[in-house]
Amino acid sequence: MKIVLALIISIISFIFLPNKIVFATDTTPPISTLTIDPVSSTGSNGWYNQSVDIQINASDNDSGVAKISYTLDSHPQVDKDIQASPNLIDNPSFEEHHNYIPYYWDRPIFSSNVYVSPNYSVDGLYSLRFNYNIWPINYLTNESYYISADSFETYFFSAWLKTNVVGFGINYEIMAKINGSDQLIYRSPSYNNLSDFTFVNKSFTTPSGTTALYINLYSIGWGNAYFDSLYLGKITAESSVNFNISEQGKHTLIYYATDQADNVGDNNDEEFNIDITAPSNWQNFNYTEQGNSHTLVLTIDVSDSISGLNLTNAFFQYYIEGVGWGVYEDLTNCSSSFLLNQWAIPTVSYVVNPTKAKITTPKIDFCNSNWAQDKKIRFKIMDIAGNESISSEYALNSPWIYTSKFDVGSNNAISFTAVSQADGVVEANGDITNLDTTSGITLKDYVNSTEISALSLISQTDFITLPENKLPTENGRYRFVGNMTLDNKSINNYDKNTICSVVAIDGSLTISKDYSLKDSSSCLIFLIIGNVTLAQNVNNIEGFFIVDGTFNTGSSNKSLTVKGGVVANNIILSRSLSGKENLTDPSEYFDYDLNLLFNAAELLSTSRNSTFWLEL
Amino acid sequence: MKIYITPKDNKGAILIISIIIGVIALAAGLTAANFVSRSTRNITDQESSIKALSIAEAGVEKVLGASDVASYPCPLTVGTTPTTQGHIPDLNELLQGGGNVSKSGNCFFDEDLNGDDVSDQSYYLEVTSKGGASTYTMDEVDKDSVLEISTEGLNTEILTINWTVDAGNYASLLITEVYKVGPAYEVKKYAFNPADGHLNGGQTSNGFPSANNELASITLTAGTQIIRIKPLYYKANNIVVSTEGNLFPTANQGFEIYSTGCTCADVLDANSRKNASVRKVKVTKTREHLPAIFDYVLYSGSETDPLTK
Repeated sequence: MKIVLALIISIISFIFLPNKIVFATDTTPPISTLTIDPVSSTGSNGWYNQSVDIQINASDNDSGVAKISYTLDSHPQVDKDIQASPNLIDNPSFEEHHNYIPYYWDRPIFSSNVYVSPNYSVDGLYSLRFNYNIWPINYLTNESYYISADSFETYFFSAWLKTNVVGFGINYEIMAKINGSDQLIYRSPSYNNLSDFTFVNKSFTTPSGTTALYINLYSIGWGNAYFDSLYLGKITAESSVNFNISEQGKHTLIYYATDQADNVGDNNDEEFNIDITAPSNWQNFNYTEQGNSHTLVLTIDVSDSISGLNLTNAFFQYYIEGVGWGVYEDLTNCSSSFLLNQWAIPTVSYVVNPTKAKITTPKIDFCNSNWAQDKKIRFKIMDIAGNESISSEYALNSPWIYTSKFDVGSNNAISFTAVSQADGVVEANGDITNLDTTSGITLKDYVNSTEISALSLISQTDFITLPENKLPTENGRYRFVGNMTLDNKSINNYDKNTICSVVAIDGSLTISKDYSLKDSSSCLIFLIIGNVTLAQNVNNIEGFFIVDGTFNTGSSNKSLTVKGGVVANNIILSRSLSGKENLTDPSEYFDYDLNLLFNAAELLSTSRNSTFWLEL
Repeated sequence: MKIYITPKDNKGAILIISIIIGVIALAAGLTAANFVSRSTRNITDQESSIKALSIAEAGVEKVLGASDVASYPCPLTVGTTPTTQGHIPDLNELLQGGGNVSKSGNCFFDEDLNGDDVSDQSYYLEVTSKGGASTYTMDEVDKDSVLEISTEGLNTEILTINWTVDAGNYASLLITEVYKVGPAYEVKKYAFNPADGHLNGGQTSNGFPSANNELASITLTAGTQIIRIKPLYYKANNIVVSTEGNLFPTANQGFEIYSTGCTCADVLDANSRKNASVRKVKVTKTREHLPAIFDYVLYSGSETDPLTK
């Protein structure tokens, strides 16, 4: 009786309702908002100096939120799909059937021409077919397999339809069981002439007293129609995505949401800035005398590549042995009061606005020319985001080194008292103090696995025995057993001829005489199992020294230039220049000889470093 | 009707039981024999496979060990121009013009291998220059090792360097370019992290720029001579260095050797390869270059003492 009544209602509705096809009933886009934690900037000038947590919230009261999308700066867009609620309909695509009669659905006895068909499908192998050629009124329901529901819940129903029915067409009803009786929640318009499967949907809220929901599918007319891929689920009205941003810089975050009916919300944007890193790259420390040798103007460069440098927040203080860290009240008068632990204000100007600045002190009198007395200075500055950096301590007139072209490395830390200068990469398995590099490439705490053993290199290739304590007279690889001393005799006119050789020494090497190679085609590589010691009078030598023991530059007040390179298990940099020469000249200068790369490759290109085997 | 089984009738049952036991014993024996036979065959196959690999490797050693035309016994051809039959010239010299070198026929050992008859040992060689193309590839380079590539003539060319990293082991690249200004050499340094979020396996940021999905780019300097590529933190895989279209020089650029070894008389003949083992190796011989330690002008190896002044 119920079914007959429903059919009559349906027929009446087909007749009196406008035959208008509305494919999607949700046309309202979702709304998205953003929250940022911490709510306000933690640094200065609107910058965060920590990472931030972002939450994007989206809401859509019709079909529900399907996706939240966001783009940070120039990064690719990120789409976060919102998990739809599970389909509450049993056998929604009519894949389960027995002799083409679908499970979990009922048809009235006169609707035998409603059955599962393999002719067309949206998903899976089958759809539900209404064959109107036999009987023009057809009907299917899952009332017996109803979906439990409660009052005031919001749901989303959708289906795919295809029909060529001539007549009233096809439609569906969403029904509710309320206090024991059946109540129509929604009746769709009737659909005709859908040559392709078409998506239809409806969102709704259950009335008070609802205990269950079910779906009726109708057709009235002549022809064929197909239903497939039905869906009924609770709407996910509100959703959010959370993520953390630690990437430093000025950011713009664009975000929006999309609902289940593919309505796209408006683009929103949020701007915020993050700088976690304090200023760095303290370099180019320098000073000039102002009237006497102990009155100086000192300069240094510092960088901050994120927010830039705050020129109003730079300071300096200095140290004089026996006095302490601070500043004299009158910087040029050591008779004035010494303000212990106080800082003074320098002049600061941008070298590159706003990321690099030069700090210049006023004239400072360091009180005397006793350079054996410890005198030091240090600086501090803030970046625009409020991160503060304090420089290393820069000793005045302490000896320092200069290395050219290639890299400086240490399997431990690098710690220099005075600022030294390098051209190449600076790398240490620890901290790096007072070694600036023009390459801008530094590697702290780096564990290097490069082979540095002279003995290992010796074992990888063949050598000609060098019978005497003399350098060879021809190109090649030579090996000498015993200690060697390089002097007038043992140099053996190596410096007067174009020779390129490797000399391995199973012992130690003492260099007691300056020497140089004849020309750019010459080379001299030492592989030394023992130590290398330089005499005080040695100031200029050439060659590349790989030393398993210690390389000692020798105690002297004259500058040493090594044209080549030094790799040693221990390096003792012993030299310090006389007078105030340390102010301007390096005590040791290591000048890499790039000719080596071309002259000596054949001599030491072992199969270990140039041959790579792979079984296919 | 009752049927009684007499002792005489039992004789048939004993026969049947005996036959069944015999069949089971025979089946067990055959299974055991088959097992032994299979095991023996597997061992033989393994030996044969190892031998094929040794033959392939020996073929490569022959090439790498050849210092001149007279020292190599296997005939190779350069492109379509055959060299002196029975000899191979120095490969670097051979490949000056780029292109490939391949064997026109089988190579046979002129000495016994494992005391076997040499007639069941053959190998086939293909040798390709690492230069003469707009890309230079390398399967992998270990951490802190150096790959050196000649860039002579590629003045102001934009090089792109692509590499892949193992999950979690994000190799950065340090690239050194040496170029010539007049008679003197000069040097430039570049460092790249792989893509964003791949910072050195989670270590502290080193300030290197991030390559876009492990694709770095540098512009070579006029007078460019070589680049030295050194992976930092971890080994780098599948390194591909590409020019804008100009070709990498071939002089002393190195070569790749593919050697196929076979426990058969003719590795090129399918019939001969039947029931034989075939193994193949690839050996990349890069340009001759100094080891990575020569990238330092000053290096202190002590693990306990800092470098101080």
